[in-house]
Amino acid sequence: VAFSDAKQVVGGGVVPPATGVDAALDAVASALAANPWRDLVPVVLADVVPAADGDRWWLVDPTGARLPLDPAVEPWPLLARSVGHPVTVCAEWRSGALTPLAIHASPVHLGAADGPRCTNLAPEDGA
Amino acid sequence: VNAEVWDELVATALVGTARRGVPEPARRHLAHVLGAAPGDTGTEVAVLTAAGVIASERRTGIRTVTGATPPPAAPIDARPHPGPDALRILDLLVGGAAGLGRGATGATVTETLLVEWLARVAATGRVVPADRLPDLLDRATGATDLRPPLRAAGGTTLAWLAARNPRWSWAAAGDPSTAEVDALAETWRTGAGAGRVEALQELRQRDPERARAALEETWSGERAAARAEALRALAIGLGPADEPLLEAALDDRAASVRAAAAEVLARLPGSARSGRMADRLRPLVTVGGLLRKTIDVALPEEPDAAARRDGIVDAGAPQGVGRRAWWLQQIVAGTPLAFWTEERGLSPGAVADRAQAQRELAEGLIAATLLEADPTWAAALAGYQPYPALLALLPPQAALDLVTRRLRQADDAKLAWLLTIAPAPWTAPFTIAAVTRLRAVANTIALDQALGAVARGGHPDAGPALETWIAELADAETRRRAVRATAHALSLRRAIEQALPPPTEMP
Repeated sequence: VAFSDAKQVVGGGVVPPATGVDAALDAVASALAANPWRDLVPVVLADVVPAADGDRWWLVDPTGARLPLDPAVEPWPLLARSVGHPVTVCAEWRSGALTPLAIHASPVHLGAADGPRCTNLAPEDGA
Repeated sequence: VNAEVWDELVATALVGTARRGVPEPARRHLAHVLGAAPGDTGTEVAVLTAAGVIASERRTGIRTVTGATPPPAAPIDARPHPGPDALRILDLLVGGAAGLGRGATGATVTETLLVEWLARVAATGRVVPADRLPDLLDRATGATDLRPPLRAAGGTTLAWLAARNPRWSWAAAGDPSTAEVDALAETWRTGAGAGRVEALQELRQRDPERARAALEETWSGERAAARAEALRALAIGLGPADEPLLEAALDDRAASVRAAAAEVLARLPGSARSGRMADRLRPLVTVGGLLRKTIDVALPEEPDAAARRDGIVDAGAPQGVGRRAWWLQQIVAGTPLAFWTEERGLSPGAVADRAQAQRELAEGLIAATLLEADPTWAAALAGYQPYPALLALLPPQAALDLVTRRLRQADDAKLAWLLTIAPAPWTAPFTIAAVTRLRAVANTIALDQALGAVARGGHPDAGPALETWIAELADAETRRRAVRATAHALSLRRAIEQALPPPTEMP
């Protein structure tokens, strides 16, 4: 297990299952307990809705629990792919905030015939 | 563990263990976690161990925030989305990868094609998919020409999304909320500086009546500069209901306010001022002849106080126009066109013919025509000078015919200008004729300008003519690139049409 490589998904390289906010935080806690040097934990949130509260943007799960987006993240691509409907979001958890990497949304609002419904939101490497 | 424990620990770490011991709560916590007291490992080790433990706890022990209610979802727009080909074209245009050339020309051509794409989407009963909207909203925020077609093609999702970003508020749902309007009126009433007039302008756009009411309320307490600027804001959404305030302002104690009132009143067709202008013109116009009417328009004498009150000025005369001719131009511009047709029984054609030989008469008539947006007068006067605004009042074919007639004798620079004002979309014969004529253009600047015009308005049927030209330009790299960009634009225009067929042809 490499401690230094923040991008490495520790734990067998398996994409974590999509969960609600509580379970995602549990997974973050376990990952940090196993390796306190990690500064980044991948999470997959199921059925979350992006919503603003004041200046911050959050992902809200069906129970009303929410996690904040990193303030440096532009919320608009995420918001446009959800338009208030629940979506699945792959994100990095770092310093108490989420950086979304990909979103899986219902095709109802999106370019229907234009490829898969999973959209990569991650900035290019080095950005 | 609470934040205080952490802060104490940090304090110890900062001043050093020689001066400060391990804080008791931290020591207790460590003992609890490790199952034993840190023992004799030394104060430094105890502080660092406690720091490690508590830091990890703080990072992992995030409490879930609950009770958030997301906003209601966007209503689903049931119209179908454009197909993959159409979306690919959109992505090329938005990404600036459509090969339309660099610089200002490439940018305007891209914008024109985006407008066409959006208009076509709306016209064929489709709606833009939500994921494409943020880029389009950003673009239309800077390029206002894109806004109307984007509103039409963006559907309910567009308004929903726009309502969530202040930068996109122009696209948010139609009716302005009362709160926003109230806030603008309040800024006008109690604000300071340039922001006040801006608020009034904004308010005028949303609710003209309310804006006038807000202006009337503070009118008597305003300084002259503010009164003049506020009157100019009335030009936005001007209507007959604004006339009493403007008419009263013609007698304002400040000259700048009187000038502003006259300026705005001149943009209001059918005003009392326009009647007074007709009164001034009446004695100057003599119609004679029985079979063939002759029209004579005399120059006016020095304006009297009433004429000055209506804003007739000496300043601003075009080069080579005398003072009396300039006064006449202002009187004619302010007189309703019905004076010529209904009162004097003249046809627009006859008046326009007479105006050919009297520049100030022609310019005044053109101003009046633009104000009343009268297509018959526009057709009669466009022969004198094909101003783009006049052409815009004509049926497209008539406007193109008019430009075509002038194209024949035009030199290179004039040609480029004529193509720039020819209203889009062009017909196939017009486009092919323009391309054929362009091949003889030597001046690079004129050619670039003209090619840009072809790209913006040209019919795709001119594609083969452009390809033939490109093939012959093998040795002229720069010129070939410019023509190639225009050919790209025309083929994209065709591709947009084909990728977005009318609804009946949809599978």
